[in-house]
Amino acid sequence: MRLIAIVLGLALGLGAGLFYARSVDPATAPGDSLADLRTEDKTELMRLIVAAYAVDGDVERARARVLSLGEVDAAQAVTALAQRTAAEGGDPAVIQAMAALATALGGISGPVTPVAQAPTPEPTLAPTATLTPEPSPTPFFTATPILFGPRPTPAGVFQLISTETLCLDTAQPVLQIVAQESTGNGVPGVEVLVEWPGGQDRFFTGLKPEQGAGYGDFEMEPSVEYTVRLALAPDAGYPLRSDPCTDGSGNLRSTSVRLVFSLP
Amino acid sequence: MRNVILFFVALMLGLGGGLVIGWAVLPPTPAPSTFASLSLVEKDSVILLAATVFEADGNVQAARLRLAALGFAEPGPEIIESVKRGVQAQTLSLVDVQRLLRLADAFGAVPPELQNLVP
Repeated sequence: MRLIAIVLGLALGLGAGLFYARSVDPATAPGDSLADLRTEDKTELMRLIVAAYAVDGDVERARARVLSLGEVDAAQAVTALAQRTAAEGGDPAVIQAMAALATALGGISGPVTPVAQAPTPEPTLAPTATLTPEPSPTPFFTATPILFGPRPTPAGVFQLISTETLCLDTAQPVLQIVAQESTGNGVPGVEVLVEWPGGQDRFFTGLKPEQGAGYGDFEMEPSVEYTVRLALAPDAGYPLRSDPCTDGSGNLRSTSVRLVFSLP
Repeated sequence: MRNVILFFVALMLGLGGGLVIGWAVLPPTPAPSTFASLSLVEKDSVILLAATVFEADGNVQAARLRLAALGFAEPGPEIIESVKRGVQAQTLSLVDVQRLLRLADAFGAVPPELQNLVP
């Protein structure tokens, strides 16, 4: 009888304590760091970070800001955001700015065209004010569109300087585009339009920083007639097609095409 | 009578154990942050972001909405407080301060002694 009273008391007490601690008054105050924000809020902040970079041109500050969101690889995070934005048909100016930041974060040499002003050393002010923290009023969040500055356009018009047909050891043929300055430095954020009978698509250079700042690609279908244009020079169309070929191992493949455009 | 006392002692012990387990040992997953729940340091970094973007787009309404997300119904005084904290902690450059004051000025919140710093 004594044992039953003890076990019953313990069980009831434990159950009541757990219920109170986990359901009635859980110790789960909202987090207070940027890394704990919801994914959609982080995405909104990433867009702000890209927009701020387009203003101040401070790569290291942008990197620190992206990392403060809990990202491990800042370049990869911005690249992924740019790819998602491009896939969703986002504003080309925004995608260009994202590609430029991704490229800059990736440490790839080359011009970062969206930067409106060169970073300059900024003097630090001496402390003069007193700290008076304010309590936060009722929380609410409204996403707002970010207005990017005028779309940056590289000086001059890109010219096609080389066309190369490749027989790559890949299942799917690829259209590779390289946009570069006359010095050979890649130019990120160049919009490429691809048209074929019954369809069209677009992509941007610079969204695969590991391949180079001015690199972009598109998966082709064999034997389809494509026309490729740069959005900066839409009048000039370049027809191309993927034909059967045999790779170095004797496997039947379809040709990939590499077009290199250069500024004068 | 003795059993009743034992029951209540065990009940209290179980209750205490349940609270310790529920609060400390196996707490529920923390709720995600909201903009309004961010620490002051984090809010200051978002304010500076908003001020930097405002420098480019000049969109007061968009800036107001971004700052409202932080829980600031009246953003002007909050920006000034952010400037004071940043200057105190020496985390702001002169350019940053000017960006913040430009945004505060758009809300009519720059005090006379700081007017000479507004670009």
